[in-house]
Amino acid sequence: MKIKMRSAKSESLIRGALAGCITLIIYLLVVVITTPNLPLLAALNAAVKVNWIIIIGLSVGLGSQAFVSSYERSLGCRITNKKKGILGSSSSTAISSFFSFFSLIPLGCCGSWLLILSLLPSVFGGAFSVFLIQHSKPLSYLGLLIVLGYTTFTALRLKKELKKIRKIETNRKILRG
Amino acid sequence: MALIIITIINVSSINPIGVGTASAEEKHIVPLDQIVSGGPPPDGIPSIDSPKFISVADGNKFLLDSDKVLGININGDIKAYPLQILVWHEIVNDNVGGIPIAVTYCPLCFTNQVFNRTINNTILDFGTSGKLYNSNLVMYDRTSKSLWSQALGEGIVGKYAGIKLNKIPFDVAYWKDWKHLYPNSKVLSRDTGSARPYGADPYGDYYTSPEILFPISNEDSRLGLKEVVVGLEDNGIDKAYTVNNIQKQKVVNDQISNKSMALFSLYPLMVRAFDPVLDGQTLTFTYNSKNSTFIDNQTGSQWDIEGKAIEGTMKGKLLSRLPFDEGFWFEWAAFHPATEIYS
Repeated sequence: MKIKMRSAKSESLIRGALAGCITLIIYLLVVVITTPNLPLLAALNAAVKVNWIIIIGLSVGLGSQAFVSSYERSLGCRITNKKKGILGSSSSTAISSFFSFFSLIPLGCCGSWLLILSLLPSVFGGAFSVFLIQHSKPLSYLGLLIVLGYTTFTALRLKKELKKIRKIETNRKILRG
Repeated sequence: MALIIITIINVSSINPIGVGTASAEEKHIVPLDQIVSGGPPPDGIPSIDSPKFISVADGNKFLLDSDKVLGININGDIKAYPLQILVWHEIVNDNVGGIPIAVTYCPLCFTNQVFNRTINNTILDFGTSGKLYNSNLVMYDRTSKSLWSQALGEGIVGKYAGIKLNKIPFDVAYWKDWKHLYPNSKVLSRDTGSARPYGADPYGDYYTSPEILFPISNEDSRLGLKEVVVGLEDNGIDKAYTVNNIQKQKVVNDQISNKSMALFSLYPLMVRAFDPVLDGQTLTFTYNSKNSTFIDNQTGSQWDIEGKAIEGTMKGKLLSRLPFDEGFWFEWAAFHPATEIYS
């Protein structure tokens, strides 16, 4: 059982790291594509400078979420609703990323994000769009908080489940002994 | 996220009007590789081509006293263009006092500029090209598809490369001061034909934060990057004056090359440059704090902020205004690397 748990853990760690890296790469890719006026390194440097908390937070958050959900599955636990969990984290990540991209507008006059923001009123209406733009920073942090909060919540429940499993294992050993 | 990427790639690749497809054979006055795409296609950021105007009373319904406007007075036709609207359009093609003009604004460089749109008897309509030169707005004209640098006020690629637009004097002022000075001013309406989140500034605290996030050519540390300056040029000599400095002194009498000029400022941000040579006489001015006027040291006449003599032997005479560039220091220094600074 111990060997099985160890191998499940390392496999899940790899999955988690992969998910974190993919999140990071996609985020930076969007930055590069939407700021064609800047050299690659300048665009990345600026994005990291402005949004490093969001970038690191989302990568760690989504990576941890992938680790937890992979680990619980390999142990046969059903702590979280897999579909809902992934959907929730992904949506929060997308929302957090989206709002954090607003701070890329000062990277270029007439930039892609100015164009995207121009289109907001046709989706959300004028007044709500103004609210979203004026509060984009707190909204991006709120998204990050949801991702990290959800990950922490599932991690704690997994820890509780693992404790239960270990207790059952110990009881079994005592009974066998 | 994937949807955003696909949308941007698709939008960026649209170029239905052939703007900026400049080849090396096409006439150009700046290196073509320094004209870069900002992302959106031409007119992705739409200019206002049929501007509507409202009264000051109606402008008060959406403008705060602390909002900035670009103001123009041509032949008594007085108009204010709120920057909260310009930030989403960057160009307004308009007619003021019978003159076809383009009111332009590049938020990144805080460069405001007003041009006469007439070149060789042809009236041009300007739009945003989606391109940048030195991080500054590149416009295009819809007749010849030539590219124009806003900061240079000059064609840079195409038929009109090397042709300069005539600059028109303008003011940048707070709404509070503008409406006090011109209560009958017309104000650009938010009814622009495009639904935009007017009132929200997408650039956030960019204007007040000391740093910039993009590389610039010729970074000049003599002034703070975002110090607002007015720049004047004569005979190839460029000179920058910090708006703060002029505001403190209220009046600056100076020379560039051999040309005399006088700069007046009575309100924050609002600076006016005048040619002080009148009837062959070069006037120099002193601020008169008693009634916020300017007194010339040669005749003792009193002059108002319009450059009009209101008392004394010169009464009724009018100084002619000089156009200038106004914007962040980094932009002026990038386009005018050899600039002098008034101190």
